[in-house]
This record gives sequence, C-alpha cells and structure tokens, in this order.
Amino acid sequence: MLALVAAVAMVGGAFAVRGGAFDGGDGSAAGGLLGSEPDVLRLHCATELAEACALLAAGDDRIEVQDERAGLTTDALLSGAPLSSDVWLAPRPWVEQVRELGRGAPLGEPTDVLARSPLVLAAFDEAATGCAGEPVGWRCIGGASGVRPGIQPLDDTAGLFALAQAGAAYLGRESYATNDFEVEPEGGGAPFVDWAADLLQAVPQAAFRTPLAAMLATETATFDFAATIEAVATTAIAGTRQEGSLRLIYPLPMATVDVVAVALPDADGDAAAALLELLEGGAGAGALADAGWRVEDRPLPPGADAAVGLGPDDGLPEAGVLAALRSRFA
Amino acid sequence: MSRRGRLAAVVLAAVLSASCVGLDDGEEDEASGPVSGLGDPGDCIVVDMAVSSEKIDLLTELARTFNDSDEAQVGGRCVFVEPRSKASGAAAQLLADGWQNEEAEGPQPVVWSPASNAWGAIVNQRLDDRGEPPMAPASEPFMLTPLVIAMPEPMADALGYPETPIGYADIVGLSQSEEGWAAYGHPEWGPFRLGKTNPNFSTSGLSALIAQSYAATGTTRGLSLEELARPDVIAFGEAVESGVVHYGDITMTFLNNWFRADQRGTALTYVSAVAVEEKSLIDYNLGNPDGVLDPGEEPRPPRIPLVAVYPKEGTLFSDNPYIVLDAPWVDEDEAAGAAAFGEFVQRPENQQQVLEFGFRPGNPEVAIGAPIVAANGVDPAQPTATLEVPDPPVLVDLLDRWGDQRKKARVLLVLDISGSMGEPADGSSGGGPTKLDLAKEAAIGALDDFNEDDEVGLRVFSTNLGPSEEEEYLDLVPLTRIGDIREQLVTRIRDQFPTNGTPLYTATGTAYDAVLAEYDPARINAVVLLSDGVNDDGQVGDDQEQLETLLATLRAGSEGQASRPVRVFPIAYGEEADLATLRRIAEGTNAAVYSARDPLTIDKVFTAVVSNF
Repeated sequence: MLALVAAVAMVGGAFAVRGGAFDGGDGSAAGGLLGSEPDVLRLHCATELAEACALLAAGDDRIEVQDERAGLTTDALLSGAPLSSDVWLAPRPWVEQVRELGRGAPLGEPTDVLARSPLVLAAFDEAATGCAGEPVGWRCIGGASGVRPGIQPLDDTAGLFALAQAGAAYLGRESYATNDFEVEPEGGGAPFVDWAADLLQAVPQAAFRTPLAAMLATETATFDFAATIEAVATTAIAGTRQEGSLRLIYPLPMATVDVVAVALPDADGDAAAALLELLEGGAGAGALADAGWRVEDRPLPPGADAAVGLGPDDGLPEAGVLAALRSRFA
Repeated sequence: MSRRGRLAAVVLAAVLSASCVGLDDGEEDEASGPVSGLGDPGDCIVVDMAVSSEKIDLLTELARTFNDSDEAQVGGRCVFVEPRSKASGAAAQLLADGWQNEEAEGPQPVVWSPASNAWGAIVNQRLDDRGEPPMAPASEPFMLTPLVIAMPEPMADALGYPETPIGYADIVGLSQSEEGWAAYGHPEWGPFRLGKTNPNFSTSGLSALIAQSYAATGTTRGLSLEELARPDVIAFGEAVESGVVHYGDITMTFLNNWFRADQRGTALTYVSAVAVEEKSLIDYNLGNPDGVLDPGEEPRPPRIPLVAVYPKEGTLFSDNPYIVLDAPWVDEDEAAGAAAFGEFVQRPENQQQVLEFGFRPGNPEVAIGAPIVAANGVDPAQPTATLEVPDPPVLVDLLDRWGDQRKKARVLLVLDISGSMGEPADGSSGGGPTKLDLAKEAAIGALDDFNEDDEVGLRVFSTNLGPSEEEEYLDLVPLTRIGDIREQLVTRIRDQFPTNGTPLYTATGTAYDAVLAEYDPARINAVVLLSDGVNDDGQVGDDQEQLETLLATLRAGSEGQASRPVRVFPIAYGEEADLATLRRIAEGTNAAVYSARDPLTIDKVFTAVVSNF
C-alpha cells in the first residue's frame, strides 16, 4: 500500500514547531497557537487503540472517546454517514480506504505515522516451537489440518490485516492484487481464495471478545494461535497467569499496524486541530507508548521482542486489496 | 402447549430434591421476593439480576460488597444490585416470552447471567422466530467451569484413565455392552449406568447433549441440522440415552444420591458416570455434594472420590456470561449501573472469590489454584479441546430431537384422593378450587410432557375404595403407551373426588411392587406419588413397622449390581404433607422428592417431576 511510504517519520518535523505549544508531558494544552479553546475534544478510536485513547483522555478532561471497530467506522465514512467526532485515530490502511474509495465528505490530511506495532501470533510454548516441522507462519497454519487459528472478524484491524498477511505468505510476496486471488500461486497449490476460505473455516467460534482473550482464560482449549497485534498482546498478557508461557511469534513477511490520526468531515475545526496537536505531541506519544505501541524515541514496550526490527513500510497490500479481501471473506 | 414449550416454561421455585436443593445445576430458585440480607434499596437505581442457581451465593456476596462501596454510583445516584436465582432454561423461556408475570417470576432483570452463552443464543433465536429483535447480546464470560464426566475413582482406574483417554464413544460402548463392568474385571459393579440431566432445564444436560452430538459426527464445530438428521447420528444419540438411569432437572439430584450411596458403601452400583460441571465435582469431593453448607453441616469427603474425565472429543465450558439485556424494560441508568457492577466482578480481588467457589476465573490475572487441583479429582491443565456452541437453530433442533431420542419411561401415577384433598387450595380464601381440583389439572397438564412412546398408568389411593369399600387403591388405567390412552387418562383423572383416609405406606409399597413386577430394563421405571398427608390407614399401631418394612424393601431393590431400580418420585402436596417421610421414600430409591407446599405451585412441580423422564 502506498508503496514505500517513507520510513516512518514518526513525528514529523512540522510537529517540532507545534510541539512547542505543549508541555510535552502531561498532555494538557498550553494554548498559544489555537484560535480558540474548545471545551470538548471528540476522539474516535479504533478498538485496538482504545487503551491509548483512554490514557490520553485521562490526562485531559476535555477529551471524549468513542471506540469502534475500524471496519465499522470505515463503512460509515464510506457511506457518507456523519460521525459525531472530531478526529479519528486508526491504522493508516483504513484511513486510506476512506480517502481512496469514499464518496462522502473528504477526510483531512492524515498525520504522519504516530506509532507502529507488528502483527503477531500468540501461542503457547508447545505450539510456538513448530508447525508440522516448519517455522510457524501462515502458510503452514493454513495448510495444516486440525490447527485452530484464532482470527478476529474482518471488521477488526487484527483480523483483516492478519488475513492480508496470510495472503502475502501464501502467495510468496508482500505486494499482490485482487487478480492474484483466483490463480494458482507460483510453486503450485490451490488458488488463494480457496486456501483463505479453508483458513477462515478453521477458525472456531468462541464466546470471548478475541481469540487472545480466550487463550488467556482457557489456554489451548479453543485456539492454538491467536492473530493479534504486538501492542495489544503485550498489554493483555502482562500480569496474567499466562505470562511466561504465552509467546509471541512474528510471522513472515513482517507486517505492521501503522497508526495515524485524521480530522473527520464534520469535525469542529478548533477541536480537531487541538486533538491533532495533542496526538502528535508528547501526550499522544506517551499514551501510545504506554499502551504498548512502538513510538520513535520511546523505549521499546515491555514484552516486545527487541530483536524484531520493523520494515520501512507496513508490508500490507494496497487499500483496494484490503477492501476486496474484506468484501470477499467477511 | 408442546412438551418442550411446557418444560421450558416452568419455574422450579418450589422444587426440592432429596436433600433440599433445587435447580439448574445448583440450588433452588428464589422466584420472587427480596434477596435475604441485601436490605432496602431505598432510592437507589435497582439493578435486578437473574442468575443461574449455582452462583447465586457468590453473586449475592459480591453484590453486598458492591452495594456498600463508593463505586455503586451512576450520575450521582447510588446503585443497588439485587441478584435472584433463576434456572437458566426457565429464565431463557421467560425472557423469550417477555418476562410477563413479575409477581410470580420476580422482577424483569436488567442483567442475566445464565450458566452458558448458549442460553442467550436460544433466547435470541426464539425472538427471531417471531420477528423480534435479539435481547441477549454476546457477552464476555466472567467465570468458567468445564463440563466433565464424573466417575468414581476405581471405575476411572479400571478404564485406564487418564492414560487411556475416554470419550462419549467409549460410553456408548460401555452402556451397550452386555458384560457391563465384568468386561473390566468388576462384575460386582453391574451394568454401566449413566446419569444425565434434562437439557431443557439444565446447562450440564444441554452441554452433554451438544458434546455427544459432536462425538456422533466426529467433529468439534459447525454442527449442522443435516448432521443431526443423519441415521447414524440419531442411533448414536439413542445409544447414549439408553444407558441413562433417569434424567432430572439438576445434577445435584445425582450427586446427593451418589453421596448417600457412598455413605452406605453402594456408590459403585448407583450410577457409573454423570455429566456434571467441574465445580460440582470439586464440591462433591470436598464433602459438600450440593455446594451449600447448611447450618450445622460439616463437609465430609466421600469414601470413594470422583474423578473428572475430560472427554477426549472435547467439551464445553459453562461460560457464565454477564449479559446486560437489550430489553425494552431496561433504562439507561439501569444499564449504566449494570455496567459498573460488571466491571466490579471482573476485578482480581473479586475473581479470587470466584476461584474460591470452584470456578475458573474469567480474568486471567488471577492464577488458577486451589480448589482446582488434582487432589480434588480435577486437572487444571484440561480441557485441551473445546466444542463450539452450535448455531441457535441447531440448538433448538437438538432439543426437539432429544425429546424423541431420550430413554423412554414407564411411569405409574399414584394420586392421593383422601378427604383432605377436598380442602380449598388457597387456605386463606376459603373458596375457589380444592387441592384435588388443582392436582387433577396439573396431572392432566403433565401428561403432555411425556413422550408418545412412554408408558403411563394411573392409580388412586385412599381407604374404603372399590365396590366392597375395602380397597386401599384402585388401578384406573394400566401401564400403556400414552399415545394410545391420553384421553382415557384425562377422563379418569377428571373423574376423581375426595374420599377417605391416606394409606400412604400401603399405596407406596404396592405401587412400587406393581412397577417392579413388570420391570422393563429398556425404560426408566418409576412411580410418581402425590400425597397431601401423613399415613392414615385407620391402624396407628403398626405405622412405624410398616414404614420400616417399606423403606427396607425400597433400599434392597435399589442397591447391588443386579438391582432393577424403580424410582419413586414423591410430591409433598400442601402444608400437611409428610415431607420428611416422602424424602426417605425418595432416598430409598435414589430418586428425588418434590415439594408443592403451596398448592398453587403444583402445576410447575408436576412438570419438574416429569423432567426426570
């Protein structure tokens, strides 16, 4: 997607100027550059960013947060439905889908990438050590009988992006198009659509919010692997009875969730500007880092594998391909 | 009303098992009225909860702590959480029907916590069938306990468990083996006997039914309507059911009977395996088979402990969702109060309390430890495979098919028509229907709860009956397939009127003998005995001897590997009924006694009794 968008300029140079308007630490606005001081800052957050948004709101009582699966927000924006928020904090591919495919009022210009986190598979030791003799990865999981992968609904970032990553693994390349869905991949095998349908068919239903939540509560009873995001996983696992036995695997090809913020069509201009400044400033970076996201110039989150470096881009197919994946398999 | 509809519509409030516990997979319901000890809610926002019975004590404790805390606040108003016990199946039907009768059923709940999410799916499906929106959103479990197959330790050892995995297919093989336990070197244990609860009432029963259906198809998920219709799947289900000793509304009936049998040294011939929740098995092994310690009761471990067999095909968790209902009677304040309590119960300190009650905490921050330890017969590392809860239409079809596949029954209804049955049912009013009037209507209604292929007979008892006025009972309809004689039964029941005395012991003994004389090993053989008074046959002097002889006969017939068990399920009807004696009669045959002290509850009680078949 947006191939080779320049390596994460986590906090842009322009920000350095605006950053001076903030205290850089506690997230409270010091005023100065904004035309007025809005009383309410309405922040719409993708579900996987809920904790970061809650932390941000805890430091500024003007902020009102609404959490929603990014896919549902995307659908609303694509249909032109108004959202009663000023800024959307979400993984960049969703924002790009709206910008490229939307027919409603346009979104603003998104910020640079504020934070990143790689896609991971959570697994207990036994499963994590191998997958039918091969290194654990999507191609192996999808082809093995009896393996119970945990993949969230495709309205969720973790679900859709995991399927996209699985596609890259199966097809053998990061960049692929919808034309590749139906054809036999290089090296042989079923067309991707059939392979992916089998993969999703193998996902057990469970009463838990996410497969990771199920594994934390019931260990291997329901899932062998949970597809999730490093930031979400490290935060969720920390302090639980599974800490120490539940491991994170970084399947190849590496893919990351790159977070941006963007003003919404019906935003209050001042509120949107204030929120964007907060998010691009120290308060936003702090909240994101404390919620387990990798933020430039911040320490690696606890539980993240320091040996795993992130690629220059997110490793995901373009927005149109993601939309097609969701449309085809949701 | 259909059998299933009628069964599911019951409220089991007045039901008592042989050891005074009741419903779902735990204790009895409090259908309505205040929850003891929680006090007056005053002007607070009241969050009424309907809670499956096995966790009512836990949630009452948590509610008490919450209500007294500063966190019980929403928008400046205090919140008062009030849990009431309600069997999951009964609550599901009440919700699907709009929870109409608050006086009888308790207040419309804001929060519903059944034992399993499957009940929520059933409610939503029933609403959808009527074109109504869902009411029970999917909800995160806040505590868990897996369904296990409880077996006495020597029996599990004989089968080689845990080194040799055991599953439902093995149980089918065992229950159909003519050799029974002799094939494992233990002829003294007799045939393999299975205990299962009625899936229309009990979460354990529902989960066991789902599990055996998956075992029949060899799958662990995606159970379909087409698979349920396959002849081999139907045959598998019938084979499992054929090994059942009787059903019932709660697993506690089995566990209490098992515990009593253990004390008498006959645990291994009452039943070989029962599908129960892991939590209940822990309670049993700790010497508290019903999970409730009554005042003065000390937990005393059984002589032969039970072992939790985690079926090799996989199992289901009772996942105890915390459902804030999306119902028209729930307002915003109540929903907010419910959400606050929902967060409260998830806190580690409160989840620690969950563990102490034998459940696995839903919050993974709390480590699993005692009492979920090997010393209590369970394995915290199990289960390693769970079965998917089927889609709602499949669940409903599963229940419908169970009605056909379950083990058929052979039941003699024995009704007391003594003079006291002519007293007004509502003692306070002095008018209206008599006790006999209500009992007759309830008995007639209960006939619909039988399978068409069940055999049912009718006998009445009193003194001075018959042309000679010397009989103590009259056989009005012989044991016959009910599908052929339903109208005859209805007519004969309607014809009854109050007569003379209450020869309770003779009536019980002769009814037992009559069923035993034509014992059918392919059926559940039973007597349903309704009585409103103490034994009164005109000869007081021999009452004690009569009773001792009767009880000895009943016990002798129910024990031993070669026993031909005839279960006697008494209904203690009205305030003058001899509940204590009727309980001893039930215990003597490893059955359960049911109490309808308030005659107005007899309709529900009759339906609960028939759930055993």
